[in-house]
Amino acid sequence: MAALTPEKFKVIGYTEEDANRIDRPTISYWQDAWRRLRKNPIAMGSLVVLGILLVMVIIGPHIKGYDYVSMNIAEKNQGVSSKYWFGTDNLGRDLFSRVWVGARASLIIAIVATAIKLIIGTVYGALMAHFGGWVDEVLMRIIEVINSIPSLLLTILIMMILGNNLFALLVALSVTAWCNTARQVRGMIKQLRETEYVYAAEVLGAKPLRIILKHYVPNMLGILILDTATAIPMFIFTEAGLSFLGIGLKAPSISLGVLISMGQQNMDFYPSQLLFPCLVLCIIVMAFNLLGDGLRDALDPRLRQ
Amino acid sequence: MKYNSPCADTAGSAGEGLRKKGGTSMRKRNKVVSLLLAGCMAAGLLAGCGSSGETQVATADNATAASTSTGAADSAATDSAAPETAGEVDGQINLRAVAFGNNFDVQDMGWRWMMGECYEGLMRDVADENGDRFEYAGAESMDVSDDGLVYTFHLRKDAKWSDGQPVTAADYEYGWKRLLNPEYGYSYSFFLFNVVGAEEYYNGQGSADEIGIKAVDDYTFEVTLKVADPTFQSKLVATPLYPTRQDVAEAAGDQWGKDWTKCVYNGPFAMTNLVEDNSMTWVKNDQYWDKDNVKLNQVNWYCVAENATAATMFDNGQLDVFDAAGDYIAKYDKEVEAGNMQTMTTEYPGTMVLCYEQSGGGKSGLMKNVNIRKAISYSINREEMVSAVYGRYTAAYGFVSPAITLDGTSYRKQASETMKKEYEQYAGDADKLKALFQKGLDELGITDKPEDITITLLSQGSATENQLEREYLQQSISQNLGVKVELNTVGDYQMFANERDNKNYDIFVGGWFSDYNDPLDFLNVMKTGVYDSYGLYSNSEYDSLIDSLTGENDNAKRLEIYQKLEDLLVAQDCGVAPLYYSDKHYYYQNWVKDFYTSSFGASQELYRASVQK
Amino acid sequence: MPKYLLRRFAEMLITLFLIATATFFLLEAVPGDPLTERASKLSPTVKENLYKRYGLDKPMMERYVITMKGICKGEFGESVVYAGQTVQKLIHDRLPVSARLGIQQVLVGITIGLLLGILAAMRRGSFWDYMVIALSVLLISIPNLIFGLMLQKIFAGNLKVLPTIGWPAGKDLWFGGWEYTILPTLTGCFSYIATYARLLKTSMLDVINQDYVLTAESKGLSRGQIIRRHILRNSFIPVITQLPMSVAMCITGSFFIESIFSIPGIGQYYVTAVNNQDLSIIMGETVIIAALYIGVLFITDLLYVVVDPRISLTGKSR
Repeated sequence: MAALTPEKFKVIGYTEEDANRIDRPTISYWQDAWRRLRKNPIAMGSLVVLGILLVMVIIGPHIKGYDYVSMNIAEKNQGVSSKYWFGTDNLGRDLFSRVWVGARASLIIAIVATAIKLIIGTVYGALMAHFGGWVDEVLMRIIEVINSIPSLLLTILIMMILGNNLFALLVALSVTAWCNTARQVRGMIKQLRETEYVYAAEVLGAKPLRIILKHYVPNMLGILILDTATAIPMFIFTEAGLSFLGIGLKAPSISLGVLISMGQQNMDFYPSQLLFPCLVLCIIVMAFNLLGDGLRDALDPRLRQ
Repeated sequence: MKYNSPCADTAGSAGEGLRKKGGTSMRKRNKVVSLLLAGCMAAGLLAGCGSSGETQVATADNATAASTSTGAADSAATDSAAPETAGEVDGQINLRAVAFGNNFDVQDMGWRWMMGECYEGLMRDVADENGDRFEYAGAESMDVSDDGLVYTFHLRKDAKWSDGQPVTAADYEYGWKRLLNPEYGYSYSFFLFNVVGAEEYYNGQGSADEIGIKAVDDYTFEVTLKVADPTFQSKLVATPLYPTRQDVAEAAGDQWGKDWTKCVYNGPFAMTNLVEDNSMTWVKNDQYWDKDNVKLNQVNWYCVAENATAATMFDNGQLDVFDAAGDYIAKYDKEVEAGNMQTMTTEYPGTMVLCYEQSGGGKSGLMKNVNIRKAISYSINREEMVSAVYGRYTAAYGFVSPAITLDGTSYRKQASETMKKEYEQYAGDADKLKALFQKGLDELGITDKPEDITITLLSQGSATENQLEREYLQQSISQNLGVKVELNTVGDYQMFANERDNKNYDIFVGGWFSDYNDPLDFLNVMKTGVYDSYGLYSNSEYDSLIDSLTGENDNAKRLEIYQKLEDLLVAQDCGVAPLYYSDKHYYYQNWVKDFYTSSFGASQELYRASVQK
Repeated sequence: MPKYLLRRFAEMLITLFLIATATFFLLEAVPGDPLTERASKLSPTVKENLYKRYGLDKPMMERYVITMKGICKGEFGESVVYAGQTVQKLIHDRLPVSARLGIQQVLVGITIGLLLGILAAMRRGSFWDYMVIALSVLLISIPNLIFGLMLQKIFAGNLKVLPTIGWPAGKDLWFGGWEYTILPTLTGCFSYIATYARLLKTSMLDVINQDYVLTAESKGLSRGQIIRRHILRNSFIPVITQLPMSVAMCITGSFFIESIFSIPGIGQYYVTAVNNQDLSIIMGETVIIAALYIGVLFITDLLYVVVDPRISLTGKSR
């Protein structure tokens, strides 16, 4: 039985680098999240649907070449046909164009309102976390006051003061919504400041910018992306509801909410006038919801399985 | 890397319950949790069962539900004399209104279809397919002196208010004099200006005692006119000439007519409940002199803005009468042919017009110019508008409604469609319309291009029909004239009136619904100073023509002057642009009997109606 | 604890005061006043009296003080538009309507939602799980509005089995007239179903992965026992804390549902009041709804403590 002795081995080459080499590629948090999102067929499907919808709200109104406001009474209340893909409404306007213009308005309103919410919320939250102390207390109290009025109440009140226009609608929609973002950002930053790795980075001499970019931003982006995905459907809902109550946009501007309330009137005779706006609205909202779910799973490492 | 849902404080994240919360407690599984939980679950399950069980009950019941009719409004009659719940009351009718008024002051004529049923004047106007007829109501008979100046009304002695007090001549005297009291500023004061001393009193030059309105005794009421007036009798059905109880009105002070609980009623029905913007209940007035002929015990009104909702209610028997529009007319006509329902279609003395701000020219400053006004008016295709927007009504080219008669025949049959000829020269021809508009701009010395000009259309209401109407007008005008049309849309009449009085508009759609059967009632509206709510048209020639009618008893001559007036107003000056003549398409269930309408009173006249299921 | 409660109570009062102030000045910013139309034709003396009656003749700051004093005494003034209507009467007449609608929605929605959530978590990855996921996504992706219109059309219009609009009143206010409440309740409960099904499912999955569940399994406890004693109890914590929020939301009125089904609740009247510029009513309604809301949020905070021992009332750590 031959014993293994050290003499039987020889060094074939050794470097420090080799010892520290990581064979598999390093995956950053975002790459990891994206990889997991890609594996989620539902989320990817939603992403594709949203892409198609985005294209449609941009080019949709131009496909058939009908203006969304021009009336053609001779061809009012038409059903689905090759000429009018979604039919026409009771003033003879092409519903296909109108639905996409309406969806565009709804989306723009939702996205702008979300952007306002995110920007104000982040800045406000960061201020709270940064200054702390009495500033934090006062700012927090303001949030509590705003949150103590049911948001729809406040929205309607604001619409009453500012009138029925796009600006008023945006203000009214975002006036309460940013509070939640601000709270989350504040909580996140406060929490991060206490974490070991931020502390370690500070001790290791990382510059504030590096800490912000490498630690704060990625963590907050996760929250903000989720916030966006849930806020957009909510804004679309609220806008549709306000338009239904008659306190939304004013003509000739249309949104999906306006189309739905108009379609309701003709529901008995021309259901397509209600069906198509509803369908598009539901698809948009559903896509955002499913994407949001997918993002939540992808961004939360605890759910990795 | 760590990622935690930052949901430490959920207050405020109400809508976002989807977000999961991290971590749960390891050990102390609190008893409270399970207790609360059990409570919630049990209650929830109970409610769940309850409502699903009820579904079946409702399903089984619903064939009869209509007859027992447990309406919200019926049972809403809580705190008053009204029956406590539905089901106990037979003879209920369920009706729909697009909007409720908020005015119970008869002199103010805020809310005619309610006042015509809950109050009563000297006469009542009732209509069926054969047209309107006047019946004596508060009066039993009337004497007119030979010179046509003195009217003596013999009041019925059994008429009573809902609190049991008799309706006396003093109530009429108070009501009529109240109408003339300048303190209250009633819009309808001019109704009585032809009465001796009335206008003087209104202008602060005479006293109330000098007015020729007298309660001779409790049941004799005498009115003395300055000059004989053939239209006076037809005014008697209008609510401003209804009686008012002095003690009650004065007790209510400045809340008179605003708070229905402070009112007494002398009509067939009395208001017992009002849920703002929602529902309203009237019950039969037991003190009413003709109560034996009033067969309904209760009238339930629902405030439903949208036709589609109302149609659904009508379809499932929750409504007994439906004033249909659009495609519903064709649908229900078929049902009528099949014998499933009844119908009554009548003309209704109302004309909707486009009003221009003519005092200052409006927000754009252009509305003073007649060619601009005409260009706007002619760019609207009325036939198309009535079919597409309303699905009913008749395109209007004159101001006076076809429902108004003169000498027993429709005024419109005797007069031409005033502006139709000129309209047809321009209709549908965008170039000609633009040229007309440009001509107006040149006359005003305005060099702006049409596309830089913005015209403001003031409108109110959020029902689909309101939306369609304003969009149609907006599109028609801007497509034909190349101008921008901006909408100034407000929520309700109150704010509409605010905007109108502040002149924040160029044009708006207004309407006149006649109070008595004479073309003068329409034409007088546009006389300078009578109403400032129709765009402030003012033409001295027009005013003097109206004045020349005073004392004119020859109907042929009157017709001539009426036509001149209308021609001046509509065709030459384009002071208003007529859009459509109103009408009513009532469909009612087979179990409703003796349903009438009224052109100048309650549009759904129920004083004889009954429900026989 | 009493000290904390006292502090919280004082905070609530301050918040309410701020809300009332904010609302007052917001309403001041609205152009025009509600009496313009009514007063336009009146003689100057009558007009003056009318404005005096509603206190609209005084300068803004004086009115502010009067309004605030009134609120302290629980008097919000009379409706400018509907004479005789007061905030108290309004709340008395309409709050029960909104409350019943909300409570029914919450009870039905949460019950169904929780059952579905348990089903999905227990049968994870099964057909039922996917059905629940699909259903909950569907339910939150279709607005109440559309559900309401569809249900109304189908059950009232086509099948004619349920009334189109209306709401029980009088002695049926709380228990009775069920057929009127079915459609509005259904319409409103869908979002609760979706929310609670997802909430409970996620929370249960969370708990299932916890060590103590593993411990329980290794001790040889039966599956039923583990679910009942360990999983369910612990997964209900987020549900319990979510509950008051739902209740608060439902009490404040479901504007859209009340509008579709013409339900005389406070939400519907709020829209009316805003349309009418009925200042005193808007003011009173806002303050009272906010007070309710704050009260419920307060209860939420207390519940947290009761439910989750890791949170202490006095602790400053957030």
